[in-house]
Amino acid sequence: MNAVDNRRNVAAVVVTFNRLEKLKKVLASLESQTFLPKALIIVDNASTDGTADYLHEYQDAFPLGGKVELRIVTLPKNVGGAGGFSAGMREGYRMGLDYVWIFDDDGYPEPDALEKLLGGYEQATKALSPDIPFACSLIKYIDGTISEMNNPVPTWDWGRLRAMGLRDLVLIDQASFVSVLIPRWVMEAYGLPYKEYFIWFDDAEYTLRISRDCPGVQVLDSVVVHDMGENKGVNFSMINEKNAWKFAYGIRNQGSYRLHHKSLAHYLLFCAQVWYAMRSGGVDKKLRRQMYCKMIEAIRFNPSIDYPQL
Amino acid sequence: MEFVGSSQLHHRLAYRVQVTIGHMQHLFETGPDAWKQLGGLSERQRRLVISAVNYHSLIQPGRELLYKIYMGEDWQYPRLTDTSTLNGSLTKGAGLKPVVEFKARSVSKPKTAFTPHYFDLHHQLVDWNERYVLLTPDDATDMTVKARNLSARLPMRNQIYNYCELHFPLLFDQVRELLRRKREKAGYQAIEPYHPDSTSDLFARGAAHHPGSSIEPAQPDSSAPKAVIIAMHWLQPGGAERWAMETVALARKAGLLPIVITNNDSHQPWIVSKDLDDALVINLTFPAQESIGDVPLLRALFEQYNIRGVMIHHNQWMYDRLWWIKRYYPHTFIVDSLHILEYHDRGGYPNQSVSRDPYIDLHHVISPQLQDWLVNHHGIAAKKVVMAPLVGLTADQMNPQYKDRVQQDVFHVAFVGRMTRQKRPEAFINVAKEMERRFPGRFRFIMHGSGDMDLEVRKLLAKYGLGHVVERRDVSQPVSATYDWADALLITSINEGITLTTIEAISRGMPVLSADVGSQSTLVPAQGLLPRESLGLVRQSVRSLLRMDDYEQDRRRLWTVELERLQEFSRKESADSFFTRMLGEWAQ
Repeated sequence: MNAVDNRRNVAAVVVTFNRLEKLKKVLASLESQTFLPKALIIVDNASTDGTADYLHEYQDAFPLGGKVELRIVTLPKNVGGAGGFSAGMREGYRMGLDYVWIFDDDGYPEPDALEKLLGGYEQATKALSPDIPFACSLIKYIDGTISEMNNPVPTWDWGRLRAMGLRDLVLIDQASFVSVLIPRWVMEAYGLPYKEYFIWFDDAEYTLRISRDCPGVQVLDSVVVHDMGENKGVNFSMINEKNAWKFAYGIRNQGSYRLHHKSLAHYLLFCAQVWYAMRSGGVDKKLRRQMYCKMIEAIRFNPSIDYPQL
Repeated sequence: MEFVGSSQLHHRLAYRVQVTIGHMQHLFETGPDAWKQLGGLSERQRRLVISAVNYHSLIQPGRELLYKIYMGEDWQYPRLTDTSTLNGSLTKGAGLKPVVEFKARSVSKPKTAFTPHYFDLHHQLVDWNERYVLLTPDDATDMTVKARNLSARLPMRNQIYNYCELHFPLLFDQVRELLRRKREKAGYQAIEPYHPDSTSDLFARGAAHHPGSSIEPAQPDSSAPKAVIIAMHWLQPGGAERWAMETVALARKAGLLPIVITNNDSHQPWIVSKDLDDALVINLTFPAQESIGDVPLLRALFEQYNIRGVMIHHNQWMYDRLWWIKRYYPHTFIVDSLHILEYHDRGGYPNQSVSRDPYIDLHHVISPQLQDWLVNHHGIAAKKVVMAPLVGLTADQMNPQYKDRVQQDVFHVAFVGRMTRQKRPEAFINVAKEMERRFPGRFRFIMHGSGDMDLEVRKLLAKYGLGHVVERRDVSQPVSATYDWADALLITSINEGITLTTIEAISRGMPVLSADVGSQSTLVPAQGLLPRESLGLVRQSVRSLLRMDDYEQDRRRLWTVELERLQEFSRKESADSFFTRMLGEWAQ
């Protein structure tokens, strides 16, 4: 048996919360993949918009029955994207699959997205190292332009694979959870994403964690369309009443990561950056105070890693 | 050291390395160009490369890897299997250029999956699809490695130690003797049984990168080749190694494939031995690639070979993995060979043997002292201990002629052995010094052998001005000439089992004076024994040598008693005979 296994059993993991119409499009995209996953795991984050009923019907009339194993995981309460990905990846691990392929309920993979992603990952491992911990797709917005908020962070030697003749592969160390392929051994060795993060920075922390020693890879010809409301990046100067709840998680999570996984200096620098961005963006003083409280909360917030094998 | 000239003794005692150009087993395929490149290396270096590629092929089955072979310096040891072969820190990272470079595909076909992912405590050991192997020049020795260390300024503690050793060797040894006694006493205290760490324990106390999951190995096909693992310290001269190489030959004679695993840094000069032709040889260097709860190397071997037994000859790596063999392959017969009671390192290998006793089926010892220590002091079941000496005397050797004095006016005394702390060469030199001081010209000495105390010996001889009294001979000279020259053999060792030199000397018709250590008293009677502590040893040596010089009949009487004891001892079943029988049973 080969040390680098040729097994290609993939579990597609979709986490959904109250976005039924988008979910339907995601499922349709998955059904039309040129390379079908072995399993489809849909994690329903206690949706209240009729998603549960729809999934029940979907299960009864699953169009890929016999080809793909469908597993619906209904969580008793909304645990955020982070909790949902953790639960879905754990389920994929339990099912004994070789990879999990994770994305949100607003990511529509193009028909050959998985085939290209898997092929690109295998090319990269063969050329560079079997220890490459993940592969992600190129994320586009619905209008065909690049998705501003889903750009991975390349490594200093990002063109190494290209120099080896693999034109569509870029070395990266940070990506968002829109079409990320993660091998089983990575979950065993590095655990699952922090479910306690709830939302925001869970994907960055996880991909940074698993690519600490060996970079991941972006497969440029594997494309997933991200159907978000507005195609723009985010920064801390944009905090307002509507989105403050999300930024609050972001500041707590990122602050915690900087302090507990980098250093006090990193944490202080991050706090200064947030302070400066909020000030220069004219963020409301009340909201600013709320964010400062989150910076303080980050000091005690240090979740431990869940390992799926335990 | 080698006993090159002992033609009258059984060939084991005269173990010689016969250089061969044969092939060892190899578990990989590569092109003719690679073999051509490897042909440019010496036989030792070529075999080390095969050993390294075998290891990587075994734990990375089916993979094609690029091997880059580098030539190191004479102060280094080969790096063949450790984590530097993954990251190239000692080769590529040190700016070296490869001397040979080739791709090889593993043809190992185990039954379960092997991961390419390995971790140390904090990091992943990233595998870049390349392996970096470091060889050493053929003139590299332990001494050249040590010389590099000596060239650096030593810490004050070591400087004081070396000063005391050079200027007050006997008094200083008295201090060491106190420590020895303390350690010896500790050696008779109860030994804790070994408990392998569980994966969960290790992770819980932060000693593992992540929680492991145990891997259940598969059983080999019944048609798989029958094999035996010989776990050795290293492939270089030594008493235990001579016997271990003998067991390699016996295994092959019995129709079993010898799989030789060593676990100590060495230039492995004996890897060129003809006994290793067609053997599978793995020279481990550390830290190795292992996962908690899994031993990939053994798993790969046990799934592809019918491994009937394991013979251990001072190999700590194997001691620590016996639990794994017994858990998954309980019918594998484990035999441990012990040569000598040790007092350093909490009792050394005998201690390890006792602590791993539940996984060992048979303890083979070569001296009554070890048998007594195991059975009567550590409660090892008597039926699990077999005393089989490394003696296989022919009829001629059983009835040798007494050797008359070489010169009537000068008495010749020999020291034969490695120049190491255990052999205590400084005590021998002090005997020479004392004899020359009191009886100038009447006694002459030869020190035959070399080792890591060569430098100290040289300094001491120069300091005492004994250049004309003590002749030094190294291993390139036949030891038979030294025996022919000598009227008595003087053994000054701090610790021994039963020395082969004692047997050789008696078989060559000369008496032996020996420190009363280990099981030497089995062959040497009270009148030939010397106190262990250095001052007493020198005093008594002077008296005994003088007596033998003055009274030839006493020299003869001592030898006669020693011969009777040797004859009695030789009637026991020899290790050779015992192992031949045992391996024959394994082969069925």
